[in-house]
Amino acid sequence: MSKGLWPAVSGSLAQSERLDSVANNLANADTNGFKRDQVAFKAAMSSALSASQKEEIPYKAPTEKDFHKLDGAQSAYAMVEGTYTDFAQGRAKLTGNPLDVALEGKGFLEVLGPQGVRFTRHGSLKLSPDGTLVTTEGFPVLNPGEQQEAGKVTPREELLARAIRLDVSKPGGQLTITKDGKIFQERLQIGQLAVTEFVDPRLLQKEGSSLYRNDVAANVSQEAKGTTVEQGMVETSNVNAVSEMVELLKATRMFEANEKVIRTYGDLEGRAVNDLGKL
Amino acid sequence: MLRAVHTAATGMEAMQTNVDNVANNMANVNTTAYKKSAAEFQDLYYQTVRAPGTQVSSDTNLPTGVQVGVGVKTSSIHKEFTMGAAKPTGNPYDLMIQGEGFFAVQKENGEVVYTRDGSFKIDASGRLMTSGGHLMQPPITIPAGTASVGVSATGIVTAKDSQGKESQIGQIEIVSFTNAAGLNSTGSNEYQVSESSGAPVQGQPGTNSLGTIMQGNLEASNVNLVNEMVNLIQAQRAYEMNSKVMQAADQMLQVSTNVIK
Repeated sequence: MSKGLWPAVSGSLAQSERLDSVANNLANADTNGFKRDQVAFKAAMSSALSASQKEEIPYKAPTEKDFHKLDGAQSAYAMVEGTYTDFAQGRAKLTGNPLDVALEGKGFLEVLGPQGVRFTRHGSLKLSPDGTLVTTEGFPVLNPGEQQEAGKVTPREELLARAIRLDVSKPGGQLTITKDGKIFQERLQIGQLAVTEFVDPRLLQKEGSSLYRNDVAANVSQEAKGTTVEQGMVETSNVNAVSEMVELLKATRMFEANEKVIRTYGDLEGRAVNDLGKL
Repeated sequence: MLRAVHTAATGMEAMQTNVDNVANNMANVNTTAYKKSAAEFQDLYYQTVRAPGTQVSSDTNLPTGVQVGVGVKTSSIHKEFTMGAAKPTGNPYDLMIQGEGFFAVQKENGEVVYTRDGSFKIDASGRLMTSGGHLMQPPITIPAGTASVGVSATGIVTAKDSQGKESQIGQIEIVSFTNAAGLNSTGSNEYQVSESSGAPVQGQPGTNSLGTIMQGNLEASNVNLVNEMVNLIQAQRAYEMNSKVMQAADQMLQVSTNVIK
């Protein structure tokens, strides 16, 4: 079989992975706080088909052609190197709901998921019957905590104690959230939204349900925070329809081109098998 | 590639839910005290093909991983209890709650449900009830021979007879919930207590951050047509784009199939 066939196959597979990513971005075009993913490709396992050749100094008078160096031939495979999340700010949508918060800046809200602390930008918060401020999924939103030591696991009860709770004996009190995340119920401060910024947000892992997981304790930024909290708004998805459609077009066309290469190789093999045999 | 087909399908389904929701809001643009619903979405889970930080050699780690998301899910459709505009009717039994709170009304089977639709009527024996025939709780009975009825901002009901003699005949109480967005909508402008709404707290209007009563007014629907139209356009376009992804995936599959002639 021709070696050139496999790079074309790897190209097709890489493009179909790009399509998967576009599909997820477009499916989440209306998901609040969603950040789009992009894929990056790389050439992998490039293997030398023939080694570069040593130049021999010609005996006759040299011409320009004689100095043309042969680099050898290479074939490489394309593969998806990584998916990058684009953390650009999404547009803010005014909802007027006092429990909706949009984060402006690089920060994330700290929430307590079933498996520990998670981070989210999906700021349409709700109240649970006991007055705890929760996300749409019912995960408690936390007050700022101590700086986490690397490798140390905080017990769940301790984290749960950081949850923001409203005084339910006074139902319906006016709730105000200031730009620095302080929450007031009828002029009485009841908590503060823990807003966390990261040195490199790309190290966060997406978990679905608009949650991100941080595995590197040193990634939490200790510098002054530049994130402001806007009450009564939600941040919409940062998916750009036009660029996604372009990506879609590129994926389809490049896939087709790779398939054409595969078919050409198939044709060549066919000629070799059938036509050569006729002689 | 088939992953993309399913991902696009979840996107189309979510947008369909969005359009359904917009349709219901638009249909209720003229419903008294209707509260608009908002659909919210979240990304589904991610398949981690390669985790970031994976060791690739003795001293290098992958800076980024490969994570492929598999679509979207509807995370909640909840009511937004913002106030609707006041619509003056001049009818003495039309009551509007200005601010927070619900009227408690009792159904035929004894169950108490909650409503903000204050277009009350009276039956033959003078009892105050909703258009659906559900009695107000606590019950208010208008005595026979009443010429006019007055309801104060704090819910005190007074009746004036034909001689002009005024007498207090009852006190309207309203209820509030810790988490009104967690109430169960049962249709007919009524809501049911649910586990996430919390228990109802009853009180006199105007106290404990409860709203006040405005007699002779009805609360209009809080649906904003412009917003709904924008939502509709967005949902429709997003639906279209997701179907385009599906088409592209199909086309790619077709190309693959045609490799073998």
